Amino acid sequence: MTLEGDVIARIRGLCYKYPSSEEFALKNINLDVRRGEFLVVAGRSGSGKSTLLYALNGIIPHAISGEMRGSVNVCGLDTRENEINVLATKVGMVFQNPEAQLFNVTVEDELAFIAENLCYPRDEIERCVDFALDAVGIRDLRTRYPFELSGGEKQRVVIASAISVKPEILVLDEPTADLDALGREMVLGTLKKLNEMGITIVIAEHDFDEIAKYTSRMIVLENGRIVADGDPRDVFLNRVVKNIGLRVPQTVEISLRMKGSTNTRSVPLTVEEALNCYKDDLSKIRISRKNDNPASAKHTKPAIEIENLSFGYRDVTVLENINLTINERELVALVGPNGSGKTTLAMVMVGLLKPKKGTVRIGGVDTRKTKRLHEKVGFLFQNPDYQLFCDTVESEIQYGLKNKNLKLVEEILETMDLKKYREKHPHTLSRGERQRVATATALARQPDILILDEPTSGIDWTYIKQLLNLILDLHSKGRTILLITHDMRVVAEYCQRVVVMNNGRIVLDGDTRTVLSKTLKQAHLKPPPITEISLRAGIHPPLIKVEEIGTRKPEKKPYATKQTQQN
Amino acid sequence: MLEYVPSNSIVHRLDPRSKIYYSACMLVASLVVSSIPVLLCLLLVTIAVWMVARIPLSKCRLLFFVVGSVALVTIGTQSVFYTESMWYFGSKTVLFYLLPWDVPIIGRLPVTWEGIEYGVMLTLRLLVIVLPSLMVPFTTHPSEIMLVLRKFRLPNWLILLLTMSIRFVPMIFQNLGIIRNAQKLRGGRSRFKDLNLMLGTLLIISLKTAKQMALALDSKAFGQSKQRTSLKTINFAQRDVLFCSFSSTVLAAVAVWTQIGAGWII
Repeated sequence: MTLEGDVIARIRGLCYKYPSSEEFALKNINLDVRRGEFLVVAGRSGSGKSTLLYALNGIIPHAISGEMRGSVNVCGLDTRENEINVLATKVGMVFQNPEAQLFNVTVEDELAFIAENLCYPRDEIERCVDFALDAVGIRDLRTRYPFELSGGEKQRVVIASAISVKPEILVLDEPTADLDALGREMVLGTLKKLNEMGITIVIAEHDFDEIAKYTSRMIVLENGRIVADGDPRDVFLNRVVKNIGLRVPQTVEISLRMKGSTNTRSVPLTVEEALNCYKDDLSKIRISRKNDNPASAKHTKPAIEIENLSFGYRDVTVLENINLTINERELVALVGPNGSGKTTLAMVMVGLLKPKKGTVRIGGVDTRKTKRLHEKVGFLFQNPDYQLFCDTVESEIQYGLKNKNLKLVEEILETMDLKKYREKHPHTLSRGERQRVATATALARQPDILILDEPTSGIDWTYIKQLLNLILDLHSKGRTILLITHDMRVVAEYCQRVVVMNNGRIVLDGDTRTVLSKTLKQAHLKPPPITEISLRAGIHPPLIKVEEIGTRKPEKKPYATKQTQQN
Repeated sequence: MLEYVPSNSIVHRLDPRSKIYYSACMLVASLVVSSIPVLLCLLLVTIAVWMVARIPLSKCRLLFFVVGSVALVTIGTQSVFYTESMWYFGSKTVLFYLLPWDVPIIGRLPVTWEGIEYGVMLTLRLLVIVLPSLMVPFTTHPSEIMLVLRKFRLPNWLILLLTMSIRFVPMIFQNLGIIRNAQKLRGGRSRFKDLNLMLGTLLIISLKTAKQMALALDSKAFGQSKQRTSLKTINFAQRDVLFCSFSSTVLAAVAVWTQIGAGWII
């Protein structure tokens, strides 16, 4: 069957059930993807985004079996009748984790991989490699070992490999989830360029702040069904994204706050658009800045003290002359680009790494002189999978506890909403649930200090919000929290103080509003859109939360007012 | 330890097959000869080729440490035990005794000249076997090694397995480190039970990664055809012919020397 007009992929009545599942992951999907579109597939974890993408390049039904009904036609090829190798020339596929998609020892070998598998002649393979290098702009990486590259570079190599045989559609499953701001910008810029070259982009995402401006169309999936389809401004405006628990771009939130707008055209998707729309209005609104120094920050007893700390591996210095004091009951964000030394600093704080020079004291005790540090500090790794060892959730929480305090375990199960999973194997739970179990294990020792390393990456906003609310709750109960994150909106909305690291040094340290109002470009960080907009609109100190936008100030009519008063 | 050292030396530019042939020749030559002067000559040839390959000595610190330790142990043990073997019937020149008095079963542990000679010979032989074979990974880019494996008609899945192991092994150790750290932070100890749990988690994580890799390989059309084409090729050039002739000449010279020594020709 050929596809008429500008339709490049047609899905009709698609239902799909995984072999191990009883419920359908996709339910009666009907979708036409048009040539040249930049289509974003949104939805919560488990809503069927990945499954839909797998159906587009033939992974379903060829590599993953299961029950499939309906039809998927890509570039005139029925995916059921054509094998993956035939579809590979039409559809390129990119997954979330670049590490699991690189198989060769040089970048050029990686770019030649698909063409070699398809038995192209040598001169044709060379043309494919050259095309991919130029299209993605990675000629300088040609002879490099892929695993030495940064996250953003790795993912660009993966994209270049996927488009090497010049597919008409590029399908990407959350390709930026594991990247920092710089890596994300790199990847999205590349996708924009490829889209301009005529490649149709279909991408699953749940962070829309950066991608919204490139998007020509958006579909939203919920429980395997398409619940919204259209221009991203329309989709954001009808609140379906927010209602199912995803985070809309902050510029859209600003727009809704400013006017309660219902006019699609006036919904800005970029900082520039927002400035054009609201520059004048912003000077006329009331601003209700929240307290930057809440009572808890006034505790001056230090929980973590670091003096002249340096750390390195062999000849490489990772941390240099770090001086930092975090007081009890503070909620501090530690931010910086990948490789800036954030995780290493946290590892030194919890005693897993020994400082080369300088001292680290936790609750006044030198970390080198105590073996009971784990009783004072709870640590949550970025990926919960690395910290789950036991057969049941309950035994997981009890692991390592000297005295099995059953009452406490019950309490933690209750707080973390894990009672129904107590007998389940932790690794069989969803990512958000595993994150909750991991957090529960960190709480089992009732630590005074909790350090969380990138707990928000790769999970959707509903889970992030649940986790952050829990952190706030723990903080209000007197715990000191150090949150390592890339998400500057989270930093602005939840943290009192921000420490910025770059190249192994602390380059900025202060209350959130002050730090966000400074230039963060050197540390490859971007303030949240609301801060950028208010700074560029001349509001000092800037806004850091959308809730700080108050009502419009009344127009000044002093004479009329006086008269009214006299009357 | 066996990392590729980038350079544009003539050895780097050789076809990997001629380097493998050279190491095979050196292996056979060192096995057929037991004369220390001849082995020394072979070692000189080996060192000369290493110098031409311009492999910086700093890259080989660990290697020298391992080879040096093995050499010391070999010379040390052979100097004492070689002549004590029940199959040794030659002369026995005792230099000194390690023990001042006779100990039942082991005796006074005599250090003999013949033992030292034999230990030195074994060490030289070891060096002549190990150094040329190590030169192959030092001077051949991994992608060229994969091409050689293809030329030897190894199945594609096996070549992919070898390529991925270059990355996968360090990744597994890295994961193991993170899991161990996570256990330590929760008060885990080095008991068998904890190690068992750690390996369980490592297995789950590795299987998850393997599943993702399998999907990526499928979408890259890997395994759809038994024959793959290749971007890069390796050519057996004139310099390879010369290098192989050189290797053959060394082997032949050693063989001739051995036969002369055995009185076969004369």
